[in-house]
Amino acid sequence: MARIQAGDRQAFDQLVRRHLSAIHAYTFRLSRSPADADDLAQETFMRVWQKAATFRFGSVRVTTWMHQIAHNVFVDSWRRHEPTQSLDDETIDSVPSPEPHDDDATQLLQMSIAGLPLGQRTAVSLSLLSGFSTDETGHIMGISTHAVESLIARARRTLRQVFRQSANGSGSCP
Amino acid sequence: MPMKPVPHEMMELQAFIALLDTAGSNQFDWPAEVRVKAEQLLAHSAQARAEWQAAQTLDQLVSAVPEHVAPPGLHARILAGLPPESSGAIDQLVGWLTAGFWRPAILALTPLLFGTWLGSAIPVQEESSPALDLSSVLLDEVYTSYD
Repeated sequence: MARIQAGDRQAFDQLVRRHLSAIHAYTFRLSRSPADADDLAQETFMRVWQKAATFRFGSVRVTTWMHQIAHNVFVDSWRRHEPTQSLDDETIDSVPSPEPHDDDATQLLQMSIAGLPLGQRTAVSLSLLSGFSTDETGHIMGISTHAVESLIARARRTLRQVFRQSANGSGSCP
Repeated sequence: MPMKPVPHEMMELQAFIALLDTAGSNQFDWPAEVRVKAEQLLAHSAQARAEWQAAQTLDQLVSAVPEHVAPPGLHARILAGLPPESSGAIDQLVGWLTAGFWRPAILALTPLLFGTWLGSAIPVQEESSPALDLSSVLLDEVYTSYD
């Protein structure tokens, strides 16, 4: 990161190589559109390049900082396209097709997550799928840890209701 | 089939569901102060077991989600979108100045700091001013006229 701050393009190339899939996964889960996810990921890395000097070592992890930028890029894009609609009132127009290699259960999970309201979807994506702590998730989303826990709890309950139907009792009790 | 005795200190089903919502199906993630009560409920309640199994299925699926792969070509597209490399000294100066808000402030303060340093570095000369000299000459003339 220090080399990128000094304008080293080779270091930036390595950063993109290392983090592109994670950032693209995040922008895809937020936007639910492959084309939008590409644009958002590209804009995210442009901002990373431009704002590299503002990164403070020891404050947050690089990946947390980059996801926060990706989140802001998405929010900016949302406000440009839907200036009158609140992020909390996002309507679900379409759910993306699952990836072809996914099995039935994974497809059901991906589609169920895509069908969650934006806040829950974002929290699940960051905390459960990308492995960020609730503190980091709150930092990225700009909300409190308590609010993150509440979003994840509501999402878990919704998803569990979906999977209760498909649970075949193969799990063993403790 | 004989029923198992129900312990007095057993968790309510709704509290158990709330626990699954917040902490998931792994008992090791459950807070220590409620774990025993939750496990007792799990041993006695078919409803609790159904909820727990659904939570376990969900947790297993979440942990097994395949890693997302960015589309080929996006990496090259991002690098191609970078602004052209600046080569001139002016470009580098502009880049340096715009990299942080404190940098233009430092630059603007430089003449002031230099002036302050210069002012303190030059020794003050203990000489009377020309105006004082003139007044002393005039007074001398007055005193000599009285004489």
